Amino acid sequence: MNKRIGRLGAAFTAAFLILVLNLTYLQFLGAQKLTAKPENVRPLLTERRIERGDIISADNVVLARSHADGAGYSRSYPERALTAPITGFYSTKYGRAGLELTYNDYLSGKSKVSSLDDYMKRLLGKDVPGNTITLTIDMRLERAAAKALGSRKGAVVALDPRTGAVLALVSQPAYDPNKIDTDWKALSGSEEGVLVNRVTQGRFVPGSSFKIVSAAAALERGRISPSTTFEAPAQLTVHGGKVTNYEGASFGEVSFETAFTKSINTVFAQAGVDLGGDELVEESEQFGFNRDTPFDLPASMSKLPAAKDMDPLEVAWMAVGQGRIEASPLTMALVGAAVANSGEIRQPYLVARAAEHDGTLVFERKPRTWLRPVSEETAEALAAMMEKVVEEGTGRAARINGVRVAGKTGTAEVGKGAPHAWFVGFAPADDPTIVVAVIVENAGTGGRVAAPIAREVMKAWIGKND
Amino acid sequence: MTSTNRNRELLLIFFAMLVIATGFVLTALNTGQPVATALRFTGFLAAIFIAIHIANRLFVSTAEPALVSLVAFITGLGLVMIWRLKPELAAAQAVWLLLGAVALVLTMLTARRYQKFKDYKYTWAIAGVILLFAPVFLGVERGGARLWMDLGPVSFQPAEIAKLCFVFFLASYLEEKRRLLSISTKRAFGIWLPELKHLGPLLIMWAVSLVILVLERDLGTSLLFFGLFLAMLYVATGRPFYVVLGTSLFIAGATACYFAFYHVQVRFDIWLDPWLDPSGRGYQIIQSIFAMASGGLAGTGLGLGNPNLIPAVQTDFIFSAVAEELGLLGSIAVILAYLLFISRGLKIALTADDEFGKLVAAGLTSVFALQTFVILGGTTKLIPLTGVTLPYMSYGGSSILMNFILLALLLTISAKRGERGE
Repeated sequence: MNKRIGRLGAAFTAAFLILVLNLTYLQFLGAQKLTAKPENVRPLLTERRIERGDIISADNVVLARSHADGAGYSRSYPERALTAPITGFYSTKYGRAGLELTYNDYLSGKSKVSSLDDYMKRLLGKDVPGNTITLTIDMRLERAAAKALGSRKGAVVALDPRTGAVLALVSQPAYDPNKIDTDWKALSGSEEGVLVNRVTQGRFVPGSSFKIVSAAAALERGRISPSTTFEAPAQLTVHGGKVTNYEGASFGEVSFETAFTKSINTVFAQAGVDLGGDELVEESEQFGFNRDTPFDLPASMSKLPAAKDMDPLEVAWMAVGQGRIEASPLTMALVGAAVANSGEIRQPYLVARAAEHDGTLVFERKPRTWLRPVSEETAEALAAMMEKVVEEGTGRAARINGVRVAGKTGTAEVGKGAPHAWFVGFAPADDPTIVVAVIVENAGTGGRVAAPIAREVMKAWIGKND
Repeated sequence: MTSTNRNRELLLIFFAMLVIATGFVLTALNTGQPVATALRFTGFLAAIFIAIHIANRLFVSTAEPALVSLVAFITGLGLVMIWRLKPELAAAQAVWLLLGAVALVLTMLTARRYQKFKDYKYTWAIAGVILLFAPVFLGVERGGARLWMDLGPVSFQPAEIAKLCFVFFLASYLEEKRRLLSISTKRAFGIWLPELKHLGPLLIMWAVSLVILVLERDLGTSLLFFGLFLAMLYVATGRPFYVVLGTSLFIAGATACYFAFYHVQVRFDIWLDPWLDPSGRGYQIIQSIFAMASGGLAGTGLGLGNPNLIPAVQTDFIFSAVAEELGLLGSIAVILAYLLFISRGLKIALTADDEFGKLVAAGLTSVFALQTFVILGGTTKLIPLTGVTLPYMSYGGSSILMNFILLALLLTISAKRGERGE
């Protein structure tokens, strides 16, 4: 009988071993897959218990903070819609967006633990508060930009060309991230695209502001200098089609610099055709077109058609800034930054640093160069031409007393409605500390509508730094 | 030897209580419940097990030393979890533990001459059948199964006590008939066959198990009784034929039930694929699996998971809560504690020097092992889920009482041998 009792024991042991193996699968090998199942609410409940870190501006204004409530913590955004394109939102129902999405690991404290105190808490299974992230956004400038844009549909982005630090980022219309759970249906179905960050994800025809890129290509790759002369008729026939000047103006014989200052389409069409589609597209790609922009927020790619897909007429129009060009305001600001920073584009960023709740620094941004589209000489020549635009050309509305301002206007013809108004500029022209790109949708000419907005932003910045 | 075993027992109880005290204090800290209450529960538990220890010294001084400490560990962890999951139920469970300890002492006093029990084999059988089927006529239905009887303020699950009655019946019956059952001259195709008339009891037990399945709608209890019967039959006769035949009969019967009864079908289908109805009938098992998965290797920590998402977590699904909050390491530790209990139980069966004692010990251990396996397998989706309690850990009076009586019986049988041997 004893032998049989032994066998019974072996059978029980085997059965329990199978239990252990199955548990090893459930709790270890397959745990991640099971936890990720959509029916599982545990990850959300766990997340609600974490005190997410604050998001604060460079001048210490709180843009997002956590409050304890019954079941855990909830999130609030004191600046509401103004900084929504930057912070994004955090919702246990609808997920995350903006920095709440891209910096989730820091904000939720999932990144590495540096202090012994936090390590002990983690060992005990206690939740460690998330990291606070400090932005490069200056709220005074942010408010100035928002005030200048007003309730018009559009976007303003300002950055420091020397570092790539984004100083202001406004996208209008926006949404109130505090109301994401209650207003989700209206927000996500909005025809105006309120959830879209126009600075990074909006793509618009750049119009004449793109002439900065065409001029760079002509100076860098063609045999053109600012003083090269061109015939500037009211219209030019290219490949059986026509390129016309704005409002049909004719200018006679002009220098390339004058053509830039007065934004003469027929001259840029000639320069573009001379240069050829290949060179033009290649140079544009050096400025960030057809490339993913490394940024702290999700950014859409600014696009150009391939050279082989364009006939000379389309190349001529592309040099003018019209046609199948899609540029985000961020890309256009970086084009301006390349000129302002001696031909070098610094990688743009929003987050300066992340620190634990006790102040220990866990992440600090070091500025670095992203692209180098033009030489220092070309950048200087472009800067001089852009300064002329503001002094005596189409960008006069951006002039600031006592400050040398450079810029380029753009008036982008779109299928229907008024054109998009663009302005890309920087100041002070001799030692730029700020680059601004502005777009106002269906609002009129760049010189009249967009330039004054950029002026207010640059003035606010330079006034502050005096 | 006498005092060595009891000294060991005391030391092991001390270690178990150390673990439980830590568990209580951590739970208090993590859930914000008063630490004083945690300490009071710990003290209460310690007092119960010290009392059991003293009773052991008095009545079964040579008994096996590890069993009580294993029970202290498992009941203690159970009480910690119940306090953490449903704080309002913890006091009731503590009272049940106290009653369990009283039942244990009473059992030790009455079972000292347990060999006499075999004289009443048919009394055990009749009592068992009555207890088993009483709820069919007098009981209330809970969770689709008719297993409970309302006795004024408390409800009672008579099947728990019926298990003990059947162990005594089978042990006495098999001790008497085992030679008859294992001797046969008939062979067909080289396979040993028993005399047909001795197959009677087997068929009766098979029928009883299926009746439970049909009338009480409870696959777990049914499986338990039949498994117990097969295990004891095998130990007594040494004929694998019975096991093979019995298993085939049970599978055949269960398959017939699958096609005949909708509720059996539903349970089985949900086991195969709970994601067919994740927010309805598959909800409980899916939540259990999510709980285990979110526990991971080291667990969320006591009081820091979300085990209350699982319906009936404090009874049938208490193990899922342990797995979530103590992780794979904790859940394996608990399984090992059960396995140790089983191995000590079988050791007692091995070393008992009377056949009746051997059969009773093996039977009790088998009931314990099968029940543990059925519920752990069910909550981990290894086998179809059936509603039985996890011995010593789940919330519930009948289960606690029955298992403390079981403990007393194992201790008594082990002490019997000790008395004679030393």
